[in-house]
Amino acid sequence: MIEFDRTILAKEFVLGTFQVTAEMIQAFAQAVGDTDPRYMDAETAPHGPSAGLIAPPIFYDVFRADQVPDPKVKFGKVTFNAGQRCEFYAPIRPGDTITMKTRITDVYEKTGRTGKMVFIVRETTYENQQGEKVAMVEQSQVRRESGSSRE
Amino acid sequence: MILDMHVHSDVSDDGMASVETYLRWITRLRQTRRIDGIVFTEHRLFNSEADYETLSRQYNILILKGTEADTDCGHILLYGVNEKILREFDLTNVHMSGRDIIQAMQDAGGIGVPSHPGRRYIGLVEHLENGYEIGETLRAVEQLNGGSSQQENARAIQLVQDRKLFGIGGSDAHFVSAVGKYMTEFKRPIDTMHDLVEHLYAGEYRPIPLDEARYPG
Amino acid sequence: MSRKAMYFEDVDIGDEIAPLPFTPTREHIAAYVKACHITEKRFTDEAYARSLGMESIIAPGNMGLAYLSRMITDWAAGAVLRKLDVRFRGFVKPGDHLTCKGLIVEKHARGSENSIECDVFIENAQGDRPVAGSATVILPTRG
Repeated sequence: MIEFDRTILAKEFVLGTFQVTAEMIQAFAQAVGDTDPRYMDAETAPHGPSAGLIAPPIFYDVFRADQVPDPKVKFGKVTFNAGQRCEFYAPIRPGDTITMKTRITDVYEKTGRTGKMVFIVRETTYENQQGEKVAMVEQSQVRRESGSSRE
Repeated sequence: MILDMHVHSDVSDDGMASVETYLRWITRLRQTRRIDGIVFTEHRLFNSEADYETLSRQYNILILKGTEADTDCGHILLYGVNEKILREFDLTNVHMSGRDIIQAMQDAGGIGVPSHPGRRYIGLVEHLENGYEIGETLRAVEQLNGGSSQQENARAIQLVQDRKLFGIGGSDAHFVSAVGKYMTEFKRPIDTMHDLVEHLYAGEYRPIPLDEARYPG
Repeated sequence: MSRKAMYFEDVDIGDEIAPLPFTPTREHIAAYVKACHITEKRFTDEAYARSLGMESIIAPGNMGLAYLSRMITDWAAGAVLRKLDVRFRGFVKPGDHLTCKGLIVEKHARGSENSIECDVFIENAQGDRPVAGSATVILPTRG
């Protein structure tokens, strides 16, 4: 039986609101060498199919909270990102205000090449100032004894 | 009869493809390679409610359901999971006794086949080397696994030879494009899980790579 | 680069997405970390990364997703990523020679949103896939 703080399951936490600027979008796109004019070119983007500058889908990664809910799993010494399941509903644009909300939806164990692992699944939604959901990211984190090699 | 004995759909926590997407991919693969059926062996659960009969008829592909259990001697593929097994074992328990479930499967009319035995920690070979007593009921292991390295499959082949076991092949696909990488070629036709279990104990089959899954003539 | 639109009618199940090779350097990782205001030290502090049992600093997982997203839109100008689902099976380290790859496994003709499903991977020089997953991409139609 995995020991953790079960009271935290499915409780929704509002992690914060964030302003989006064109500079943030361009810095993010440039960091992975993405030159798509929809993200980079304020002059041509308004005339393209996206009707204005938009952020790349993975731009949600710039929204970061100081405090995230922690189920306090009593296993393992180190936490890694095991996977992400993302859905993108609408583009994020400069001038948007994005609200980030999160819930811990599951905690479970399995075994892999490096031994026993406990998974923590967190679902985060991103909403714009119109209350429109723009993205959902379900992240699986894994608690392991060490980081010496991957599964 | 050629079956991919080890496939994960999106019902498994780390599976990426729906059952129907696999079936459409197999239909395309069948233009050049022979695949008669697949077994969905989902991680740590048996999908009792899923009924694949209609899809099976629609695509003319045999679809069977199994489980891949986590145990104290590695992962084990369970063919012929039934109510008796589900009452006796909690499939989410990663500490269950591999020896016990292999025995219980035989007693219940099914079979437990250790998967990727050559892998570290989740493969049987390492546990046997550390003194694990698997018991007398072990008949077959997954000799060729699509997610294993060449060395890992070589250790599985060695185990089959050392213990005079039967060997199956499975893709361990979690993605559509990985299905069929290794499969099992049976000498006789199989229509049901009951047939499959019977043939697994009888031993007239071999693991094959996708490239060898050809139509006769 | 010239950006070519890719239309739903022009692609088939089994088609490969144009691969995207990349080698993340410490500078690239630092730029990503800065753009995302990441404070976690395993991406910047070598000693800290080793204390966790890793060989060196690693790239953030989402950086790999951003490259996969770029692979798709470099290949099909105007493509819209609807879903991306990946598992991290290994670390991405600075200096690793990587290639983003993809393969179309399904087409869905649904009127206003015609989409393709793709198996997508990041493969390293040893042939291992530290990142592997599935993407659903909306493509425009000629009609």
